[in-house]
Amino acid sequence: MAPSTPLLEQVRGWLVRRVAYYAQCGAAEIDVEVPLAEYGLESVYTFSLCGDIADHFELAIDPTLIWDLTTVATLAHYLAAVLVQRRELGDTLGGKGLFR
Amino acid sequence: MSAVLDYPPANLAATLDARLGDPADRTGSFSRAHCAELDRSEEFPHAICRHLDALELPSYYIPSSLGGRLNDYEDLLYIWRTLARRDLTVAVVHAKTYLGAVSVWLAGDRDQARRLGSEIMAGRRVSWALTEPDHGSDLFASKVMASPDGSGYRISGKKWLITNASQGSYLCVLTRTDGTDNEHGHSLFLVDRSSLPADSYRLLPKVRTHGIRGADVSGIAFESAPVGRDALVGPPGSGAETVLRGFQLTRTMCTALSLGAGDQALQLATRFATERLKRDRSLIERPHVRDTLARTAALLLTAEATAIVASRCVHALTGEMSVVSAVVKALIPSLVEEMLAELAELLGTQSFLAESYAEGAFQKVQRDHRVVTIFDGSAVVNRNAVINQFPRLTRGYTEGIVDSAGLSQASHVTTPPPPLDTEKLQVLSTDGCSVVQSLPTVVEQVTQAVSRGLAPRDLARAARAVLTATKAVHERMRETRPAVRPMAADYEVAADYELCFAAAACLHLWVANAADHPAAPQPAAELWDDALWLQVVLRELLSRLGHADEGSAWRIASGSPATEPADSLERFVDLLATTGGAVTLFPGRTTGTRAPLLWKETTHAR
Amino acid sequence: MRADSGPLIRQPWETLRMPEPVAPGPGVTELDRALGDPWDKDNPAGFVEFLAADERAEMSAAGEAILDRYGFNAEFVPVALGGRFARMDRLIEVLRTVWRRDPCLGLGHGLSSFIAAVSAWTAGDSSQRSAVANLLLANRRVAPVYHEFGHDNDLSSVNFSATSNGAGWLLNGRKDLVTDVRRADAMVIFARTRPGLGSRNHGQFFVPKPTAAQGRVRYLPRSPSSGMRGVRLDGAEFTNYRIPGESLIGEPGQGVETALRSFQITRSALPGASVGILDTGLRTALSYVRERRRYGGAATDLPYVRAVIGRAFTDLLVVDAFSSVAARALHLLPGETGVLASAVKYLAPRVLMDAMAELSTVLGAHSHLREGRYAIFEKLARDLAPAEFGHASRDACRATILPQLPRLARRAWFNGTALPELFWVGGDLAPLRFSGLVTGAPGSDSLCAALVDISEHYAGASPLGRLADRFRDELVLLRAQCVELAPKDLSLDASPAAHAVVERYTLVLAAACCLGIWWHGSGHGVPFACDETWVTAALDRLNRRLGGKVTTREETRGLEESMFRSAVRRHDDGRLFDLTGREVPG
Repeated sequence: MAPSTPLLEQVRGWLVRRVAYYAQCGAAEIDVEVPLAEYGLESVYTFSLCGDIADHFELAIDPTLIWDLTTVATLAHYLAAVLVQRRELGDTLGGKGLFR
Repeated sequence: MSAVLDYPPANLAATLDARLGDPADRTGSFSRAHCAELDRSEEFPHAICRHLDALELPSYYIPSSLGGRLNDYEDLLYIWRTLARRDLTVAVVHAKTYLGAVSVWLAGDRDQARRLGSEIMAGRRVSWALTEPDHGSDLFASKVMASPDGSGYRISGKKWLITNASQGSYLCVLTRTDGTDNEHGHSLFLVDRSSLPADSYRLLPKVRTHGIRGADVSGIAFESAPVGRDALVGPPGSGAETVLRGFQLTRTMCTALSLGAGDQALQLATRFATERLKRDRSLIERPHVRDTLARTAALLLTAEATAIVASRCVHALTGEMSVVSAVVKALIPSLVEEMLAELAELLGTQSFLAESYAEGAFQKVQRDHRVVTIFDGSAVVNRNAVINQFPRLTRGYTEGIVDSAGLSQASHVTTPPPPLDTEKLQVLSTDGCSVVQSLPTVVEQVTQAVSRGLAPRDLARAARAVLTATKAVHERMRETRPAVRPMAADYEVAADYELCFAAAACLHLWVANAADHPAAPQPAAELWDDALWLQVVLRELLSRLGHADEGSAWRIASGSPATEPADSLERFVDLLATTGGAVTLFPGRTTGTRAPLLWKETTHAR
Repeated sequence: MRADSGPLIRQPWETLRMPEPVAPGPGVTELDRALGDPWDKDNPAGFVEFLAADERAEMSAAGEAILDRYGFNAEFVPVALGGRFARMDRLIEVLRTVWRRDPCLGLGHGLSSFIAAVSAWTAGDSSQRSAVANLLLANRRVAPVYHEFGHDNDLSSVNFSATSNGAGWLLNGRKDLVTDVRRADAMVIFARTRPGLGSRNHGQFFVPKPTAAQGRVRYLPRSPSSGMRGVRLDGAEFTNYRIPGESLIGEPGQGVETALRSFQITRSALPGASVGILDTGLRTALSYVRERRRYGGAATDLPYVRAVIGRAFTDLLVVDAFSSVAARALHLLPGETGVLASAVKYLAPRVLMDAMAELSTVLGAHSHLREGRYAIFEKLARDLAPAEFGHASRDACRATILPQLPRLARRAWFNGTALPELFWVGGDLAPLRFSGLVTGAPGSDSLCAALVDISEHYAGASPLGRLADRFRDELVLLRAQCVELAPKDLSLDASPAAHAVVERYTLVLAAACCLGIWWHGSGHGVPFACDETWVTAALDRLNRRLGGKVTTREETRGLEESMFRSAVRRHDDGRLFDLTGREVPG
């Protein structure tokens, strides 16, 4: 199931901002194809980022997700796909809105 | 640019240190490797002690009036600190001779003292036999009896946990000479072991200990051992008083052992933090590591400044030593124990391995230092002594009783202290403690220095905070009832009083000597720039005194984590890094290089 | 790849289903009986023997033989695999039974094999699991091969490598501290499987030994240590050591993940076991003071002595409460133990060490002697040290906890629901599911929720009411600070104040455990639960670490005095000082 482009853009944009926040740099400096570790995001940040994702999208995810999907691009792609799937399932898990 | 202040005791120490050779040189007799080996095999450091004897170190254990070189207790402080920085075991066993002899210096007759002096110069060791099985710190529950027998006495009973009981040629033995339980029932004897019949005593086996494993910690069982009347130290019945007066000197000097241990640990940890990489960056770049080093180094500087003032108080405020000695013996070993625990966390596994980093020196110094907290009076014993003096101390503080001349001599390190008049050592101080009781004045002096632009504004604020905290501590002291068996909480009040003493000592030391420390390029001079050392020391002391002002401040900083570390702290850690953790208020320079006598001259040229 | 299976949705709590029961057979009472009264000079496995073994820097052979006869290693093997491991509380109780006698024995002849084995239980396949189980059930040992100097607890940065050569793996590199690797019959080895940053480049390997002609393992000289002297720490250097492909535990790249999950079990167990050290330390100090006279009276008449004993007893209960609740959480709330296990491991050893240090002021010179009636105190104090830096240092624990605090602060602390079962110490438990352990990022914090809940219901002017408020207020303050933590403060570059946040958080959690046991435990057979004294004393002690004055001097003295008296009663009755208060020999 291919996610809709605006959703993917939204997810990616949000992720870029979070990664830039932890990497303590400007969003423009984040290349979505470069592994997060190369921005000096020490492994501890995977816990923080994972928590951010969980809260923002109301998903319970394991921090290892970020070990496996190591770039903003792959992570965004995956999250967008899950969100679409959830929307199509009638939004049974997330409660009201997907985005706040 | 001017040189750093010239401080003769530090020069003496630097000269001694140079003569002892590089501790990292494995071939040297006083090398770290050799000390580690002796520790493993639990062997007495004979060769090292002979080396120290050859340097005429024992001459510093004998008052100059008796032909020795001890005329300034700062010298002794710095010599022991230098030994302890290399190896605490060696320092303890060598220093013990002074402890063993001190009663004779205080109470013995002149002939006895002269004889003992020449024996010490000849390399004989003297031991101090106070404790007994089952009485521990309760010295005056002594069961060892000296019974009159003809013209002399016969001693019976067991002294145990005595450093150098077996290695010592002489033992200064505390005995009971009176059936009654009162304080005049004890007498001291200087026993020459070689003069005793072989069947009249038995050396007890070496006791295996946690630290100072190479030391001779053993005991002696007297079995009707005959001693002459000339063995008595002072008149019969004066033993308890002599011991208590002796403690005022030995307890003050034992802080040198903690200073040396602190020096060693800080240098080991600083080197570790500089060399050890974590994720490609050295540990010392990490903020929390910098914080640990800064705080522990501040504790060490606190201990150093306090010990220097205390060792000058021996001469200048002799009558107040019942307070000063108890305060510093409780405080300084405790501060260094805390340092060691914090630094152990920094070293992690390497604080625990016995042969890994730096020959396992860290675990050794940590084990060895435990004994400093125990012997010659633990913190509990010393705090008990301070609690009993609370009424005088609070009155002295309220009335502002200060021996200004003595205090000035105790604080100005550029002038030699007056000679020690041992007659002035009294069991209880009548005037309290001038160092603390003059706090309002010294805080005012700091405020004036700030207003003249000689120190940063923060310093005046910190000094005033010390004053506030000290007032609060005295309030709590006033609420404490003196008792034979104080409440547990009273010991905490006493511990806070110690912090007040340390803060006051540091303020005095800075006020008295800062003017002699113009800005200079040397690292030690940097410590005096902008009163850097005083800033870090007061920051640390105030964080501890926070709880003295009940309910006002949380023990753990609850300030916003976003706060950047103070500029002064950053400068301080940079200084630590460049000196390899060797920070000291008065660094010495080596003087003579030839004979031991040369380093005597440096101490007299003041 | 975990992501293929979709996001993991975890229920915070599932219906209580009991762990598989342990087959009737020996338990902690039998173990206590087998080991006997440690104070008895004629006991071949008493303190005399353990001290002598420590002097020789060897394991006690007599002690090992008794543990083997009891089947100590079976305690580490899940019931389904033929062992007795089903409940964390039982495991801790058994470990504590050994730890209060000789921690070297417990670590060197037990726990270190368990540290290796949990990887297999958590991520191994059935043949690996049964191979490890069979070894342990046959009293053999499995060495955990993890530690490299310079990477202490930072597993993802290790250098030791495993390179795939098609059919199998080639091991190369050096491990510096491995427990008794020479005597081990198998190893679990942590290795880097590919270069690069991140946490997916490592594997754990189950390697039986000896295996012929696979290449070279060279054992390096032993590293002597100042504590746990009996436990042999060896180095080992591997050169082109070939192992078959099926040695890998779990999937490629799962090494760090497995460690983060499985070590929640061992990290929770170690502080609970170490309570045994303080138990003996306290017993030694009590024996000492009760036999002594000081300053014209009994040493026990000294208020200082009474206070120190009372405080140490309280500290012991605090650590037991914290580790017991964390142990139950592994069964009941495995989603939260990624943080909780680290919190216990962070705080509890420090509390125990401080208590031993304070007790040593009562023992005086005897705390420094390696001989005589009280010598065990000196040894145990040394043996305690690795509980703090070993198997996850305070630094490593802090690095796990800190990045998770902003989120917990934002959403969990004041919006959660408490789970009363968490506090039913000794009560029913759901099975421990290794698969339920997650690496971290919990969205709930049931302990803080319980604290908030209890402090709201139990406001009041009593000391306990004020203390409960104090800890709730601290949580409010922590929340404000945690949501503002800068990214830098979550990392290795965290400021000292951010570090202090972790310390304060763990103190709040420990307080929540004590309060929870008191509030929820009564009526559920939790011994001690309805007694308000210990919980007040416990919070008072924790608050001393936090700072600030809540109780008056007189209140504190009263609490310490009550705790002293109950410690003396337990000493008289020959009972443990922990929450169970079980009768023990000696």
